[in-house]
Order: sequence, then C-alpha cells, then structure tokens
Amino acid sequence: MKSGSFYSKAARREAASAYLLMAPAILLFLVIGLFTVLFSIGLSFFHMGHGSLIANAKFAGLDNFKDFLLGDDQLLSESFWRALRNNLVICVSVVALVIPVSLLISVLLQNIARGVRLFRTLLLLPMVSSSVAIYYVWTGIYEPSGLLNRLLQAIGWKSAVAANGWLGELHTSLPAIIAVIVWGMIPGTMILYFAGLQTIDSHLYESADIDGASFGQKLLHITWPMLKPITVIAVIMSLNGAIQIFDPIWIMTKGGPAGSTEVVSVVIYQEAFVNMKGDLGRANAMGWTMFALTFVISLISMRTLKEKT
Amino acid sequence: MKRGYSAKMISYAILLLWSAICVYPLLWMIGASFKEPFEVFAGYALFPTGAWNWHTYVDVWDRMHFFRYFVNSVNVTFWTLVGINLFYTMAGFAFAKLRFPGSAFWFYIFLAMMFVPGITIMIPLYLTENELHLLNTHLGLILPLVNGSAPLAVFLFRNYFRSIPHEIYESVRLDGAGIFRTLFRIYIPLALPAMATITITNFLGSWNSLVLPMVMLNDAKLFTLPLAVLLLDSGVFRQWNVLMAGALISIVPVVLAFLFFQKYYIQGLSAGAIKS
Repeated sequence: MKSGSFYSKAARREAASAYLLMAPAILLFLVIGLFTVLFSIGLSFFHMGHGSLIANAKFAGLDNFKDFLLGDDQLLSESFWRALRNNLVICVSVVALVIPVSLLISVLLQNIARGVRLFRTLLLLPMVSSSVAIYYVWTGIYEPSGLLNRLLQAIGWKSAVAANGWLGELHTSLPAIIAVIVWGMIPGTMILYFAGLQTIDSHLYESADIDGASFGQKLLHITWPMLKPITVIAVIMSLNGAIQIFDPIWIMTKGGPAGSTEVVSVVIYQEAFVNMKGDLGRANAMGWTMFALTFVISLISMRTLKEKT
Repeated sequence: MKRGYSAKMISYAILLLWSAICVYPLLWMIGASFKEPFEVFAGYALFPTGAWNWHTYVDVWDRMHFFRYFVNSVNVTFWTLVGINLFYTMAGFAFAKLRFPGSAFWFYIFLAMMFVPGITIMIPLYLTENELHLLNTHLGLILPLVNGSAPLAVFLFRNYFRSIPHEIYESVRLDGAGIFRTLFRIYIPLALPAMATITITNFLGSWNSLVLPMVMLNDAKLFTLPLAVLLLDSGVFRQWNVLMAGALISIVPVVLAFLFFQKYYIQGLSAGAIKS
C-alpha cells in the first residue's frame, strides 16, 4: 500500500522537476511564439494603421484578404500578384538549378582521392558568408563596370552586356538575383548529398562496373534512386527558402527596378514597416497567405516526389 | 585505367572552377576594401596594384563606430547562445529522461514552431515588444533569436541525451544525486559535442540576422553589424572601399568560426535535414 503512494509521490516530483526544467523554454514559447502567432492570425482580420494603438484596430472581416487577392486595392493587388509570380519563378529556378548542380558536385567530390577536405571547406563558404556583406559584393559584380560586364566584353559577347548593370535592367534583374540565391543554397544541399553518398553500398557500383555500366547509367540507376529521401528534403528546404527569401533582394534591389524583383516578403515588409500609410492587418494577411502557400507547395512536392519512386 | 585517370582530372577541373566561384566574392571583398575608391572598378586586378590602403579600416573601425557595432553583435550573439544552450539542454533533458504528463504534446509544439513564417511574425512581435518595452533593446533581439532556435535545439539535445546509455542515469540517481545535479554534473559535460553543433549553427544565424534588428532597433547606438553595413550604404553614392571594409569586419567572425568548427557545423546541417 505504502509503496503505491510513494511511487506516485516520486512521479509527481519527477513531473514537477520536468516542468521546472522546461519553464524557461515554455515561457519564452508562450510569449514570443504562441502569443505572437495567435496575435498575428487575429490581426489579419483587422485594420490597423502605423503608430496607432492596438485598441484602435477596426474589425475588417475578410477585407484585408480581398484587398490583395481580389484587387479591391488595385495597387497593392498588382504588386502582390507580381511578387507572387516572382516567388514562383524563383522557386522553380532554385529547385531546377540547386538539385542537379549539388548532386553533380557531391558526386565529383566523392570521386576524387585527395583534397576532399580542402574542397569541402571552399565549397561551403557561400553558405557561411551569405549575409549583407556578400550581397553587396554581388551588387558590385553586377555594376555597369563590374566583373560580369567586363568578362562579357573580354570574350567579345558585347550584346549580352547590361548597360545599366545587371540589377538595373528589367529583364536581367531577376535572373541576376536568382543566381545569387542559388549560389548561396547549393552548399547546404551539396553537403547533404555528400553525406548520403557515403551511405551507399559500394558493392552496387562494383557489380554495375562488371556489367559495364557508364558513369551516367550508374548516376541514373544507382545514385539518384538511393539519394531519393535526401532529394525530397532538399527540394522542400529549397522551396521554403525561396518563398521566404528577403535579405538578398532587400540589399540588392529593394524589389526594383519597377517591381521586377519584388517578392511577397518585400511587399509585406514595405506595407508593415516602410509605407507610412500601410495597414499592419493587411501585411499580416499577406504573410499568412504566403504561409498557407508554402505549406501546400511543400505537401504537394512531398507527395509527388515520394510517389515517383 | 586511363579512363579513370582522365575522369579524375575532369572532376578536379570542375571542382576547381566551382570553388573559384565560391571564393571569388570573398576575395573581391578583401581586395576592394584595401583599394583607393577610384581603383575599385578600374581594372581586372583583384587586389590593389599600388599600396594597400589600411587607412579605410582605421576610419571604419574608429570614426564610423564599427568597434561599437562589433561589441553590440558580440553581446547579442553571446547571450543568444547562452540562452539557447541553457534553456534547451534543460528542456531536452526533460524530454529525454523524465516521465511527465504532456511530454509528447510539448515536444511536438516545439517542433511545430519550425513552420512559423519569419517575416509574418515580425509585425505582432514588434507590437508585443512595444508593449513589453523591449523595442530598442538587445534583449528584444535575444529573446526571439533564442526562441527561434527551439525546434532544432530541443530535437537535437533530446536525441543526444537519449543516445547516452540509460544505466548511467540510473546509477547516478541511485547514488542519491537529484535531477538537477544529474543534469548539470553528468549530462551537460557529456553533451558538449551537441552543444558545439547547436552553438556554431546558431552563431551564424544570429550574427547574420538582418530583418529582426531592422524592425526592432532604430537607435543607431544599438545597431548590430549587418545594420551597420547598411548604414555605410545610406549616402548619396556608394564608397565601395569603405563599404567593403565594413562588410569584411562583419563577416570575419563567422568565417573564422566556420573554419575552426566546420565538423560541428556540418553535423548541424544534417541534423536539421533529418528533423524535417
């Protein structure tokens, strides 16, 4: 009899200790995490101007969503849809470029005998340095008299030179930005593939060699299927990054010229913190629309990639 | 045999080319920061052809207050890392070793936070911090940065503590050590590799973080390095040598940290991927 109550007392003490240990984490989560998420969802159904008090927010129903989705506010709606299109272009290009290049580089890295560590360090640098500092360097490379134009001139491809700089012209600005994003994202995916390659049984390649399989055949029939789970993760991570992208665009173009590099995060940031007539409720509504989109895209890509095995 | 040899050569050639593309921007940054302003876009030379101009650094560090911004960044990053390691080793230990009601619930709550979109949360966070008088304080950056690291940190520490044989836990507890003593005397010293992984991963994230300080700080005295670099760009035209000197100062600590703790950084990447 006694031992039963002793046990429950010990269990209670253990539970109390557990909650004591988790108290800072939970407290922080409640204030910074949960509260702001609920607040943010709620706010997307209200109108709230800059510098006004929370108490003065006016209920808006679905007006905020109608403003940018259905064009009730024509200007905002135009930039939202343009931004969304740019986001999708970035998503598709990022996946289409990051996955094959990362895979190729990690396979090459595994094939060489010497210098793996040195190459790995150099190849990871873009990921480490992707920050304000490096985006300014890329801005310099894209300047009218920057490296890219100089190289094109040197090889005699004059028609490709961007006279106003690569970030200054409508048709080159978005590809130029995408190149920087891809450059920064390749290392992360590459290192995942590289780790995955170590786990593939070398007997598979040996027996393929005996059958006389070429490099391409081995890549297609052994490496690619074996790395499938990593590809799924890499695609989802790239899509997430591409939809939420903000820093490089804010540093390099602020969405310009003429909205050609505008993405949803930039529209939200402008609406919430730059445009003095902006509506915080609307900015939140756009944010959650973007979130829903990310979620749906991730789900769809996860399903399709898994089925295609 | 011959075919293998040429394949290796091609591999090396492509890797060299790609490495050059990876390293070039950093080299350009270094070179431009030591050039005279007119020299930056003048020729092909990556580094100054004449004398190296060290004076720009003295200027940026001293007159443009980069020393102060550097201290600010160190302050924010240091306390963020302390918070992350302390809070989430404790939480991870509770999830790994203790039985309590709500354990699974809280664990998944912490993981679910990963899906919260960054920029959306800035607006209510700004309003919340306004109410709590956290705007224009470093604490106002530290708290969200700590909380933002929770999904990965909780997951990693829990798994790490679970991988330590349970016999150790039982024998320490039988010797009469309390739960807190067990955690701080036995488990945390054992968890140093996991703490290194979490530290290096979050060091990069918090040092480079841009939007959060952009939203929460407007007193230039409190600016962190990324904002300070933006500040260098606020003139009518860009002084590239000055901008690149500031940029280099802002990036040196993360690059060095990466070079020294690469192993742990790579482990953090893989852990992040397994989790999702």
